Amino acid sequence: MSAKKFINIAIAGQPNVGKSTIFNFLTGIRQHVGNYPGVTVDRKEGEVSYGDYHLKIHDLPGTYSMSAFSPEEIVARDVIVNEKPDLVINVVDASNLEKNLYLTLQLLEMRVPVVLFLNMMDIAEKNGMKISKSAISNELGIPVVSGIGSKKEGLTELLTTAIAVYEKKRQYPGITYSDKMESFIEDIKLVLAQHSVEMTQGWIAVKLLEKDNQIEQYFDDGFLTHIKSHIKELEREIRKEYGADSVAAVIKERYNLIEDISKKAIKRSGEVRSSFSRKVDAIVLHEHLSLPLFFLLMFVLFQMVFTLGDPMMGGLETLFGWIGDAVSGLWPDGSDSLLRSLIVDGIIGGVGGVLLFAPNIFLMFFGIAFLEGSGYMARVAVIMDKYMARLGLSGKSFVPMILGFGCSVPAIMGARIIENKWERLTTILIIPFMSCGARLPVYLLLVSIFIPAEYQALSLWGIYMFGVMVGLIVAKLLRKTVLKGDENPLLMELPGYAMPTVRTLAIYTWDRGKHFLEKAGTIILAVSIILWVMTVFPRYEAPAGSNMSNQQIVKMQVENSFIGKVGKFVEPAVALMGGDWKVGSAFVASLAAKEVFVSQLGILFSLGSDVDEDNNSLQAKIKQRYSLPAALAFILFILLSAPCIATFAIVKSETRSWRWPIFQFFGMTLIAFGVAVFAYQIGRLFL
Amino acid sequence: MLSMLKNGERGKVTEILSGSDLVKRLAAMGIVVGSCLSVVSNPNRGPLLVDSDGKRVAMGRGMAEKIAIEVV
Repeated sequence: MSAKKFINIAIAGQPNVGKSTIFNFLTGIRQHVGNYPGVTVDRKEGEVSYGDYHLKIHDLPGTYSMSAFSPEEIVARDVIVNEKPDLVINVVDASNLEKNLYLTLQLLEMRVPVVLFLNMMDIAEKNGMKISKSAISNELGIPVVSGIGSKKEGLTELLTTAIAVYEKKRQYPGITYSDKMESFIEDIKLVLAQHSVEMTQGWIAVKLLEKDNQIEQYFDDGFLTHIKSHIKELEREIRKEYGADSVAAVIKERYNLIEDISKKAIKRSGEVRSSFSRKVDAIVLHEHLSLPLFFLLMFVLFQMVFTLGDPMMGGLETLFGWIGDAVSGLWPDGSDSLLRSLIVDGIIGGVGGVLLFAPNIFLMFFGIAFLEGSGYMARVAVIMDKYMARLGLSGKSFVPMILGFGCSVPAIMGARIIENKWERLTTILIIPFMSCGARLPVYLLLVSIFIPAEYQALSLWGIYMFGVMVGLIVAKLLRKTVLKGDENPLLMELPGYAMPTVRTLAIYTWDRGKHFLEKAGTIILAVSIILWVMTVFPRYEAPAGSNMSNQQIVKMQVENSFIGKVGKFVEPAVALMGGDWKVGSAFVASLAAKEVFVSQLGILFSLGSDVDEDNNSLQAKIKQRYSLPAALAFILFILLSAPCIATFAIVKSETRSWRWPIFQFFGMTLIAFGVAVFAYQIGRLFL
Repeated sequence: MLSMLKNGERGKVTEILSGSDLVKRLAAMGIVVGSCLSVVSNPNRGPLLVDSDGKRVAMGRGMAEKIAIEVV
């Protein structure tokens, strides 16, 4: 068997053109998502075998242009310049061809072989557009394939065309602008020739005319001043020709060419505009209706999660209990094997306890995926922009914050959509104030004990809202102090409303939910084992001859263990919020995951680890031991205190420094402590 | 200025009074000197919603204040 030929392909395209769908169809599950060095942009690669060829496909981040505005644009550009793919597949939205060609022209300026894929041909036809592929192909000098990505139409032809382009190794002439522009470019190229430049000179020349500071950094100061003074001389002529500066002149050249292509290749019959989206927007973005509608949708989302999630949680609880019992049964009755305890109490109890929230978190992400896929989430950024602007953030910060109600980890990763680095950092720091799924059991336990049934739902809402409020106040403070810095004005395209496909929903939900499962399998597993070790060591030996009950032994064991000692160490501080060493050690244990608070209290009240919010004896003991103001203080502390270990780790990797997670850890704990103590002390006066 | 247009009004961009970064960013989204824009909604506060060749674009008020427009 002869070795297959390798072809490196990059897929480029603007946002909302269906690029990812095509990438997913081409590569199937053979995908690898990594990270570009130095920036937090997903690097997606996949492989596919086709005939005698092995294609390595690199899905570039969606960008409107190839300038250096966002990290995505810089990454996309660097891949083409440094990794030199054999060819680029440029996916464009056929129904919006002219705007999409702006990116195409910039790819062609880079003199890289391009295959153009006209996607969404069905929509273009519905809108009365007739597109001549051959005319575009002639104008741009590149092969053009059309199809409908979401229905897999045209993808085979796309692959065969790509291979043909690779095999012919034909040098594409590249596009040429008007004579006058080309003469300016030639002029700069002459200067560049004095300096050895590895990149395509014509492209560099255009970028220099565009005052691209990323490219300017490529040259040493002396040479840059030399080129700049040269361009300054050209600038006078450019102004005479175009009546504008060189940046505007380059833009104008591109759009002139696009207009030219459009005249030759596109025929429009009648104006069909999607009036549906327009009508929906009239309500969704209505000055007075938008906010109530948003809160209504959020309410529906949470109700959906709680109503559907509860029975699933119960089912999983039974399942883990059953697994625990089954594993336990492998040892003889009454055995005090440490290994059994490690597996049953440490691993199954710890990881299982966290996995219980998987249904809630997946449901939350499913709901959010629906709101995103339908086009609503993009509007949320618009609706919230004016409120967020007061805090020094943009509307785009709001979407990751909503994700935070599921799990902070994917939410913090979701903050990548925010271009401005100060706004992004602020958002990352406040996301853990959004009450995540793992904190809910703590509230449920305490609220069910201390609050009369008719006020329970209201109290839960109050807790969530309080978290949001504190987060927003902190955001404002951060933006006024440590995270000052410029703001990015909002500029975003709103996709048309659409019914998301099941496939898209599944991919979105899984993409985010899997981070939660990963952390359950890694960090939480490790921390569960550590916590277990801290709970069972040092070993407590019942004095000889004493006839202590098993429960008493367990209690003494925990009280004298490392975790018990930690609890006693923090007791003086916890006492200020009405707690004791038990609550103290439960707080410390909850660093692993917030819900561990519940199981830790269960252990400490010597009931074994398998307790939940319905356990009456635990409830009775807690009610007898703590007051209502203390319970309120515990809730507030769990809501606001240091993020869990997994969140700490993701903040470290997303900000690429230890500084921010440490700052967040101590900052949040301090706020939580202050608020909890305040609540308890004030509450004590009145209740 | 685009920010002064009322809901439903259309106009042609005559100038973008801003640094080249914003000019390039707008150009990449298809908004250049000569483009036709119509205002879908222009609330008292917050971003405007603009229609540019059938695409809806949300734009911060500060940005809209830098786009000179001739009502047509």
